Amino acid sequence: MLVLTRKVGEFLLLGEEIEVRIVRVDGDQVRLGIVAPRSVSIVRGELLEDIRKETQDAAAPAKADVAKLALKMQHLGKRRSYVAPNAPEAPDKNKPPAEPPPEKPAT
Amino acid sequence: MEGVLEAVSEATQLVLPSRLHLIGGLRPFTQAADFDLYVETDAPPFLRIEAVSVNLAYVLVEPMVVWSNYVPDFVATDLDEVGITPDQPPLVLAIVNLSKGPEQATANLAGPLLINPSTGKGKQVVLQNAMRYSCRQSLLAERL
Repeated sequence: MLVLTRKVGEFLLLGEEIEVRIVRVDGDQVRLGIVAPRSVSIVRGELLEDIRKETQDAAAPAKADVAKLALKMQHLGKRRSYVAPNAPEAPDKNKPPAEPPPEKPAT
Repeated sequence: MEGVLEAVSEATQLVLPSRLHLIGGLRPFTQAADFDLYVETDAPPFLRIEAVSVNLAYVLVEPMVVWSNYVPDFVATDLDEVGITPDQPPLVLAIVNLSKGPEQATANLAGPLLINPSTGKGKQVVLQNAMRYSCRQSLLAERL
């Protein structure tokens, strides 16, 4: 990781099109201004972590819970009808469990 | 580019791809990229995916079916990667979290699955306007 010290008002240029400017420092909060093309996504790191955790927690939902939840959604009426080529099958018990890859040590 | 989506007001039909290939898998399960897609026929409007080569399954929902004011703003490179063109609306699906039971079921609206409905190619993305939505949106809330 490249660690730099900047003063308020100073900026960094990442590549040729991304600018990160220190707009204000307020106690332990830093206000950043970012100029970047629309093709570059700017995401708070905690959101990525949140999404990752959600995906982990949401795995393998219980069928009974899905049925109960559907009952609570009946007020939606029939808004969408799906045409699906796949018929439900018995789960394949021979598949290995999904495991997240080992964490890389922090540098 | 904003997703080109119409509010679902009457029953519209959607032909689903039978298999999804998610670029990069579903973090942290990066090795699970290929999934079979099923309709939960006894539990509308939910869908289910099951990974082809590992034991991994999810319940999904189209956010627009639940909330007509969900307006996802996709990053242009994500749309390109999945092959979405202006004339073809994407299939957008959110992972449903039932780990705390049906009363507390939530949907991840900030990091949905962006899918090309004709090829099944897709990706879990972070919305350009992710800050507007929750990754734990209560499914029982009628408005966002």
